[in-house]
Amino acid sequence: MQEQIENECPICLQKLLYPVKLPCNHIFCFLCIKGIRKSPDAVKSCAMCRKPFNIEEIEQNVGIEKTSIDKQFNWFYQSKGSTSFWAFDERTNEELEQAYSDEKDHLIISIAGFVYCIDFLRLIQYPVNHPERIRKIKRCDELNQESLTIKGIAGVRLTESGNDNSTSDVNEEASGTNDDELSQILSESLQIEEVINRTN
Amino acid sequence: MAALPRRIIKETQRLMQEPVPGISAVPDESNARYFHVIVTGPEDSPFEGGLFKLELFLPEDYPMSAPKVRFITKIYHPNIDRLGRICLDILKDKWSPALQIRTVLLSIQALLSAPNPDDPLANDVAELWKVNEAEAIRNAKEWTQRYAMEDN
Repeated sequence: MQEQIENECPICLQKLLYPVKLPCNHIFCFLCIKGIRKSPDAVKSCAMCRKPFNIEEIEQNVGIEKTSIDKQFNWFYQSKGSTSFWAFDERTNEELEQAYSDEKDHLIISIAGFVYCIDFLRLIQYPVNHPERIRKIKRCDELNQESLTIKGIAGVRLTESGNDNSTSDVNEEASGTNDDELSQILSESLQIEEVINRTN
Repeated sequence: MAALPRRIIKETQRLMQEPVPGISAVPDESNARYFHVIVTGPEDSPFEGGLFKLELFLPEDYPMSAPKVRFITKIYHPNIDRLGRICLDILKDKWSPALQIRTVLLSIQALLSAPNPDDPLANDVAELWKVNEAEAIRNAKEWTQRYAMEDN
């Protein structure tokens, strides 16, 4: 297959975002490598050399500093089966913010290889081929006034201690919420576990 | 309709800026995911001199799923059936999201140079290719002349 261009992800052809290095030394954006379809035996393989790798190990080894979440993040989606939220990755965030400021009522967008509908009227998102897998979304324009428990960015966990060690929960079709969980989640009010103070 | 992913935009730009010799792929005016493709028959193959039209479509979850490619021009080849469907592993289970339109079309061109009758899609063609290769090649040349030459 082709050579890897420096700083470019061979899957999205953009500048690497939350880069991860596989055991074979090929580097991809975290979301791009998450989006690789599993072969029937549930083992993913490197997009460059086809060497198999364990996605769970990769997920456990990526993390970002808490300070990485700053004012540029306006959009968050609810973590599966929990009251905490993930920030959308910065590219998706940018597109959501654009569509929102254009007063669109929804946006169809591909995230980690799956096509989602972002419904700005109901403030929910769902994969277009699984409309029952609804998650809440939230826009925070003034985060210093907003209290959200933030797990990380698009499945990349915050590294600061005190964070739970649950497996990464990227916005992915395969990790959809079932209806019971969903109604429970939707009926619960947001718990304030951690206040993100933007001024720090 | 979803916005066109940046990868598709970038790939299309690069295809236009640095075209692949012997291959042209132009997006449709009304659908940027649908490409009109022309592949020239490789030298020293029975398809030499032919211009083969194909259609290529990038599905919604491209590049996580392979593009869908089909020959429009009739072709006599053991791995291409009468509907133009192509038997090529990278279009199926060997697809990788690091492959691109460019690499797919190069692989298809290479398939024209190296027919593989042991993994046939067109059974009658593959059978003849195995038992009487000379005659199969004659047929392929004749079809190229009849269906893939410019004056047709």
